[in-house]
Amino acid sequence: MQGFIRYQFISYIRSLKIIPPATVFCVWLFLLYAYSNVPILSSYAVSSMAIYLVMTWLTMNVFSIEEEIEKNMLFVQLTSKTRYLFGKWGICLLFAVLFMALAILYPIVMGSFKGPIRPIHIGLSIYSHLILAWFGILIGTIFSVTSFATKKYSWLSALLVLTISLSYEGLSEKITVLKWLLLLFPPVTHVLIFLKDDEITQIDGDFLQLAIWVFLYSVIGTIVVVRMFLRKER
Amino acid sequence: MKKSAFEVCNVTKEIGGKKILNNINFTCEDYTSVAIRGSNGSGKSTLLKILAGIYEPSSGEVKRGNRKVGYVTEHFPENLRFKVKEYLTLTSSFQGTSKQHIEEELLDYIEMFNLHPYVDTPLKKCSKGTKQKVGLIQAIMRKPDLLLLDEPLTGLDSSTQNELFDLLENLKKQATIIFTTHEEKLIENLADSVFYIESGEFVCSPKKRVVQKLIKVKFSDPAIIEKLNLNDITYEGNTAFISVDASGSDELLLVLLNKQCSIMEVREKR
Repeated sequence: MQGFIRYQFISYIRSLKIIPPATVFCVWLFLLYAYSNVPILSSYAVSSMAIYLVMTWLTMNVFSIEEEIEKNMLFVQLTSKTRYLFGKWGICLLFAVLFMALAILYPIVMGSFKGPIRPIHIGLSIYSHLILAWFGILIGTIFSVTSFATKKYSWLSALLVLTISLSYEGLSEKITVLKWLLLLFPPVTHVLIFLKDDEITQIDGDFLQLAIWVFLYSVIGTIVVVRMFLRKER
Repeated sequence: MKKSAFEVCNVTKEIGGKKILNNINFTCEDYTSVAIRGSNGSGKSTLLKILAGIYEPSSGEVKRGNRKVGYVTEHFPENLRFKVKEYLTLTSSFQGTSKQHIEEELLDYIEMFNLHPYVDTPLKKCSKGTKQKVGLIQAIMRKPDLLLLDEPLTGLDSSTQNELFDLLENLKKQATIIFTTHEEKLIENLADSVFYIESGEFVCSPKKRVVQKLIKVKFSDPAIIEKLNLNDITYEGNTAFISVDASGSDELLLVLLNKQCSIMEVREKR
């Protein structure tokens, strides 16, 4: 697997496709912290949303760097299609961790926050960045390598899912009929809801309940995406 | 007795609602070489992809056990962003082989395929023939039990084709080889049996290639050879070149030796 991740990393870097999403993410971050004395958790909520969008974009790029023949050869060289998928996710996670480190450390280094940063802030920021990055990777994968990946509308469809998942709260309040349908979309707001009050001192039962739902969604989502990928590649 | 390398049982493949392969059945023994022939679009490449595990059959089954597969595509990918040596080192490392071991082995193949001038050339800038050689090396370096080649002669010049024949002939001792081709030359040189496929179906049963031996023999009296009633024979002075089925060659050699003839050479006929 290490060899394949190296192969993918070199191929992706040399394709130069990393430049647009990385640039957008960095510019977003620099603009976010252009002013000092900003609130801690709300700022991390914004950078988590940025990582969510950028990771969808990056994942769709990573899955589009090779042509069909190269993919076929990789299936044989890796002896398994699942290893191919996991290798691709490995590369996406590598960039997600880099982006996450930048998003969390940059404001601390620049002294942009209005108050002192506490371990709970760091814990919540790692949780939100990591989970939203994974949701982004899952959406990017769905619209790249499953039956939903029609060439014409895949980017538009991905954008639609991102928008709906980010506006979940408003939509479910105004159109109650959609409430159950919206459960299919990544529970982004369930993660961001706790990134509001900087005075938070400890996590409570509500947080744990939602975190369990988010964790379950991630696990089930991952299993479903793997199955959809294998079904498409039959 | 040779073991069955794999078994294809009632395999049907549909892509986009179109039936590409229909009820394909065949078995292949270990260390044999099989040619799959057929016109363009007959389903040869699809069958090869099913054997490689790239596609799965819509119905039916391919039993190949845990055999390691090497796969050579007809057209090597155009947009690989690696240099020749870098690509081969990376793809070989997928199996967890040490870098040092890979480099030692790679040197032999680079020598064999005359790739020295191109080792640091980006694959995008290589000729079709060079890319085809790289495609072959990546498959061989996997040390496959089953080597699948889709039109392997595409883009190779005649000297490289001959090198490939020799290489594949040697590989037959270590792996089962299945290839698709339109070229008679490859079938004559390599195939033990030939399958014909037309519109996704086997149109006739596999045809075993009859292996022939060429015996070069020196004689003192031409009557000795004439009495043997052999069909395929040519003369050069007091030397005869006799072609016989491999199965009967030992018996003939014994007869010739008993009649005081000198055996100069015995080889498989190509």
